Amino acid sequence: MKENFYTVLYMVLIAAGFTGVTSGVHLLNRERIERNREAMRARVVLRALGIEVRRGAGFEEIEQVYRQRVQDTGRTVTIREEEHPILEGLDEQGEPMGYAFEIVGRGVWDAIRGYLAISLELDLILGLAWHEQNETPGLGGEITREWFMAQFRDLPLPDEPGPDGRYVRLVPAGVEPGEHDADAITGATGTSDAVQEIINHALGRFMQAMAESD
Amino acid sequence: MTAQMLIIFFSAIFTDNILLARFLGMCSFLAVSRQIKTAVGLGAAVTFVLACTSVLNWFVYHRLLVPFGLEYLRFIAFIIVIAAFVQFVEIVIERFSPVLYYALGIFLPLITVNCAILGVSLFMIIREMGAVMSFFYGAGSGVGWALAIIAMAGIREKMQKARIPKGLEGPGITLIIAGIMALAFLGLAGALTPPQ
Amino acid sequence: MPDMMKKIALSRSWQVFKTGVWNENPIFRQILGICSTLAITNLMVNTVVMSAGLIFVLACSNVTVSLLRNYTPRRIRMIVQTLIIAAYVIVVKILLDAYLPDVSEALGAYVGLIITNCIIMGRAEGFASSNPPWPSLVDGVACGIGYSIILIAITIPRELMGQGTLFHVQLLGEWWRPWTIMVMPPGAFFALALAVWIARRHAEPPAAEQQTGGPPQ
Repeated sequence: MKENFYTVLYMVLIAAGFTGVTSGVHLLNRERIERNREAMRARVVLRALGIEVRRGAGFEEIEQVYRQRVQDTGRTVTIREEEHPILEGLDEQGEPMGYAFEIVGRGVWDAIRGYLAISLELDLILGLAWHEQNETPGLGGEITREWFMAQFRDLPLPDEPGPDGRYVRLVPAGVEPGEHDADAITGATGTSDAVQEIINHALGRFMQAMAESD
Repeated sequence: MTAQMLIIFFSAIFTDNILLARFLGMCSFLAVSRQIKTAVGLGAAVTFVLACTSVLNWFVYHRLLVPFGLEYLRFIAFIIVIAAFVQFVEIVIERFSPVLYYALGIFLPLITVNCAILGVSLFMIIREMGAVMSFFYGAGSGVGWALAIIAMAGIREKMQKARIPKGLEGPGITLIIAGIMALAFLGLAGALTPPQ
Repeated sequence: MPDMMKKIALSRSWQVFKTGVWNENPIFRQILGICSTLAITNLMVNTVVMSAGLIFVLACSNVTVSLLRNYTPRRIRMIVQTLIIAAYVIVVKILLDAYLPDVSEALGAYVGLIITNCIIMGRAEGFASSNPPWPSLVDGVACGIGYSIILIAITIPRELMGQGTLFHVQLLGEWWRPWTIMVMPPGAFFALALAVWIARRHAEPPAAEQQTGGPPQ
């Protein structure tokens, strides 16, 4: 009986002790983790808008740039039942230069999330950046590479989607990309299809939202 | 909805195999893949525990930890749930089905330390799955793991008499076979299109 | 100075250290604990951070288990050890989130899976629960380093051949066509199998070689 009591007491003490220690470490770092998380997202928004923050910049630096160059328009766009705010990017003089909003969809392994930036006249994709993807490294994972994302920098958008409902297409190797197209990733058909779908779906919703709010 | 559950289930078996694509549960995979019979027993036990603990942990995380802002304690919470569940199942089947106990019971203690179990719970949180989806993901992962270990046991039984370079005996050759199996499973990646 | 070296070589700590790094190297000798780490060995940065986290958890949990070894009731030993390990893993996860968010994101669930790494549990149970804190610390660090060496040995060919880079720095020129398979799951199996093969061929003492002859059990 006495032994049982000791065992229980010991277990409770150990559990309380370690929970206390981990909670302490958590509390000490909570603010930092939260700001890191925000900064990671802020950086992707900036990247989509074509504003690069130097590699290795801390969250303070990113937050500062973000405050200067991005503001909320108060409007939202609904993509896959999630409501996302439409943000506005400002150029160095503080004049609006385009919109940015979160895009989302399923990739090959997992959800893909990123930001898409569109010019004020809605005739250009300003840029694209991802903050969440788990595509196969070396294949689908190439969507995070500079060459892939560069294709979407200032990519002209057609006035109307094509007969297949698409604004932009990812074309396989060997096919000459048209004015509104980008190269797909060779060997990663699943990811390329997913990305094409994510972008076009989001564009459709965004155009609709803009037309409604005008 | 149903289609998505099925896709989650089958992709967990084939394209995102917890063992061959995520490397979880390797220890028992290398140690207990010599005979088909034991592989089947362990595979069944893992599948059962995975399907149940993924749902249990879903509720623990979303109903107990998130409301109190204790998400960071999930590692401890999950491992305790898994250990407790395994212990509970062991007691129950020992009491009610000695036959099942002798078939599966001996594998249960091995399962607590099987990283696949904890891994599925962690992936389910990262991928923001719902409770039902977690169940299908857990069950699919279990079946996928069982499939991999049974196939490996079958190959190893056939290879018993094969002449293998000394340094590769045991784990070495098992790893190479696992690599080839992973290649084959990789080929299925395009077969399941992601639901939109 | 030579005296000093001799002293170090003969000391118990050094013996414990050597045993941990080489003689009882967890991966080669026991093929343990690869599950939770093999997945992240396609990039050097991830491997190094993972190794550091692992060494930290191993050392801390070993010392803690050792300090508590005379007070812990036998029956609940395992659960106490698991609790200790889980607590340190949470600390690692929090610190990574706070100071290396990019890497933490890349490692994803695998940081948490350090808990189920058989090596940590194995050292806690096999060494720390019956030895004083100081040797336990040495043992933990040594096993961690031995483990890290293997992980790095697997990662170098994977990242170099798979992407032509190391630590994200382009090392191979344009002429190198990346072997994508190396960064994908099968590459990890093949790289580990080769590493085990090479190590066993060169490191097995002759006596042991005779013992291991014959078909595997």
